[in-house]
Amino acid sequence: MSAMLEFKQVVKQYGNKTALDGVNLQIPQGEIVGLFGENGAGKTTLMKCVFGFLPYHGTITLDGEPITPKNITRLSFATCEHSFFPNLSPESHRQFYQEHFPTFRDKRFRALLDFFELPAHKPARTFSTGQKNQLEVILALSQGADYILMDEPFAGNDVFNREDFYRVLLGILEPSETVLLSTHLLEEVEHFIGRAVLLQKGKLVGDVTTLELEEQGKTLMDFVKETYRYKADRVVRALKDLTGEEEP
Amino acid sequence: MYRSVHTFEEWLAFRLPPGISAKQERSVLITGLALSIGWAALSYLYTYTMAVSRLYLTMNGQRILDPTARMADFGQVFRFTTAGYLILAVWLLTRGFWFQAYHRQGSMSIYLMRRLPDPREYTRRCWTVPLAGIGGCLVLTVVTTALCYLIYVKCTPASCLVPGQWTRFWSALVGG
Repeated sequence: MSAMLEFKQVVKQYGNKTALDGVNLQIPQGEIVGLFGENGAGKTTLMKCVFGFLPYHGTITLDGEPITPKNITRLSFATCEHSFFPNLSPESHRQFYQEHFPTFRDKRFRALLDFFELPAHKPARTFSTGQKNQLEVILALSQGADYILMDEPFAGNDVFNREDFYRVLLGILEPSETVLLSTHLLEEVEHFIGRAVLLQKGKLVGDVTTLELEEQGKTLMDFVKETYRYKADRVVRALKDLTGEEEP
Repeated sequence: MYRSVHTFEEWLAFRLPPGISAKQERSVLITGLALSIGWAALSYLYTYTMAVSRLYLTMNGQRILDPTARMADFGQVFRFTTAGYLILAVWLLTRGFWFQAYHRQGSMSIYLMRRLPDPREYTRRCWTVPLAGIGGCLVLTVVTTALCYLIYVKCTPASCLVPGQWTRFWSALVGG
């Protein structure tokens, strides 16, 4: 069995609403995968199911094994909701992570903290949104996990901040590290990811490598629009309906 | 994992949600316990002294024991003595739930706690201190009850004691 994170027929329902509708997906170790989809497509739900934060039907396995406390440290999570302790400083987080995650990458943590110039001894609650996101991602990258799941980690960051992130990420990731990155920023991550996965209304509707896109001469945006059957004229039609004006 | 712990504050720090001040929690606990013990001592001594004083008559400026007087039941003298422990225990219980809610305040640190390799860590950090405190309140209630009963039996004039107090006290407690 090769190393991978695998979803088989994953179904998640909130009452009558189906959030994930039989998702089948394999993410081999070492890939950087972009997870795309409109709001409510199921991106966050999919990630939360991996950690067992939400109950679901189907199976999610890590190297063929169910995800349990035994192997959960091989997965880390950065979320726009933030999972750090607001009252703790980055330094206290370092101590907490070191205590609980045996493969914690101390050197990487310190280097990233320096790079982003985050104050090591101030409580995280005093940080700006951008700094909070940075701390969240730094912790996820430093945990020592093989699979790093990021759910909209840059929400609220300015473009310069995000650019820094991509560069640093590409620079520090080791070949065995896998990233599953959920974001709306298609164009920004296009050159950073190796594969794009699209969700629509809980269904996996697209799965392509960036190499395949290059060969087809398409951008990630083209692929997403095609797969989503984006109606390019919908804005014009909507305006016409609203204003009652005839097309020229 | 073995941790060498030297002070009560250090012991607390590893058993509270990260970011909760162990120093502050220790102060609140000690104050709560001190107030509860203080209340127990003062309220019992006051009620007991009042009950004993009712056994005496004053004649010609002299206090003499009324031979027909009967001491109030232990249950009546004792009844509000342990209220402080009960209030503290209820507060500790709500504190446990608050510690759980804390992991959803300002961030979703519950996500971090739930992906720790030791799945008991979250429960340990939310409930060790409240449950240990509730256990302490229970022990103090037992010790206080025993001490108060001892005072009641040993210090009350024997002729005024109504027999079977201990049984009557427990019967009253369990509603018998």
